[in-house]
Amino acid sequence: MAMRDITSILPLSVGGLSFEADGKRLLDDVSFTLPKGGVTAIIGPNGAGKSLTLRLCHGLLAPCAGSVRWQTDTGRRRHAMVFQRPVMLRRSARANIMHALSAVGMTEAASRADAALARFGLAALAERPARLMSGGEQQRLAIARAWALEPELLFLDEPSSQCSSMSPLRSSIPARPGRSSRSSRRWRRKA
Amino acid sequence: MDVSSAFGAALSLIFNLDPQFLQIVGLSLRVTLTAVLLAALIGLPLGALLAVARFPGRSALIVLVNGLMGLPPVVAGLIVFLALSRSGPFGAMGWLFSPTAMVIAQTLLVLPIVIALTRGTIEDLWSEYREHLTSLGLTGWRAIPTLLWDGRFALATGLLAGFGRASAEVGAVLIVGGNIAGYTRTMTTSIALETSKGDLPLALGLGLVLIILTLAINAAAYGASRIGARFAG
Repeated sequence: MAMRDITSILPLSVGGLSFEADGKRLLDDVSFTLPKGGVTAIIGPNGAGKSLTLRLCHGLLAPCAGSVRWQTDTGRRRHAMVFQRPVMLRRSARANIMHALSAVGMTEAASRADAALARFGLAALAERPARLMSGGEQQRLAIARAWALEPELLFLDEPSSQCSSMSPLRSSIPARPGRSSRSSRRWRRKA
Repeated sequence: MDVSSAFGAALSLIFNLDPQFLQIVGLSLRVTLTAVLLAALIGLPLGALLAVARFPGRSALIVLVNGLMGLPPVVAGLIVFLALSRSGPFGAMGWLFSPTAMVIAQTLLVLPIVIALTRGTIEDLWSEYREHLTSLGLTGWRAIPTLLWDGRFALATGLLAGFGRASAEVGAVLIVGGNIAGYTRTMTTSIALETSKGDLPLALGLGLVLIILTLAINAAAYGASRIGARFAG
């Protein structure tokens, strides 16, 4: 087995994760470990708690019990999330990505944004108001925006629900070529 | 003087750019625009904070601010009068019966409108953006710049509503300004005074300008929402 990479946030250890709302237990004692590398899918029927699990792992919600433990906890969050219904700021596609980059304190926002747009085939729509784009384009922009943040782990909550077909997504999702294993990213897709 | 000849005299006041007439219109615009600017500087961040913050008494504060949107101008005038009068807490500043006092009174009138409309706009935006902004680490006050910028077209409409209220009110500026000719006489106070004196042309001319101003505000508000829909979605 390879040496443990102590600069990585992975593996992620989730133990006894539970969540309650209005006295109803929505998630009960979920435990798993997420190793470095690869794609992991969470599959389950509607209401099983798939989205909830992702939100708890991403830190958008606080669990009622249990823990979400990353290997290292460095200042900037190194995991990103794409939501089932993409949240588009009332700005151009390009400005949406630049806003996310400067929010997390990343430099060279303009060139990084252009690279992300190009990678996901959105270069021609860079100046288009994001909210006037089609559902599929918005979803692709949301993924490009998360990708630009260079996360080590990406939570995707049914990212293809707005797309007519999975194929454009599948072809654009692979990690950047030429990345070392240290910064290789994991694409977590919820099926 | 009958109404039709008064109307003609009013139009000649407007088109001949009568200096006294222009001075009154200019002062009104200066006072009201300054008041709206001050109310925006204070009210936009406060309204946004009220939208995203959660603290005990928040609901009561929202009800209070919403209620103050209907603050009668004469009461606002009375409050500022008491504060600025010689025996009041700010009496030493010597601001009573000056344009400064009028700006303060109108700011007091516009501020609740700006805060309440901003709170509503930003709260809707926040519920839409919350997960994304939280994911980026923008929580609490750090989310406010993003929310204010993205709500800019709706917020512009709120500021125009504030401008409309301030430019049309007469009670507050009359009490704290004193309606001094050439110094604190505005369009609304002039209309009240000149009508009671029987000088209909000046009153009618100023009334026409006020109506045109109201139409222009509504056109601007409509334009802002159209531009917003076109460029921001």
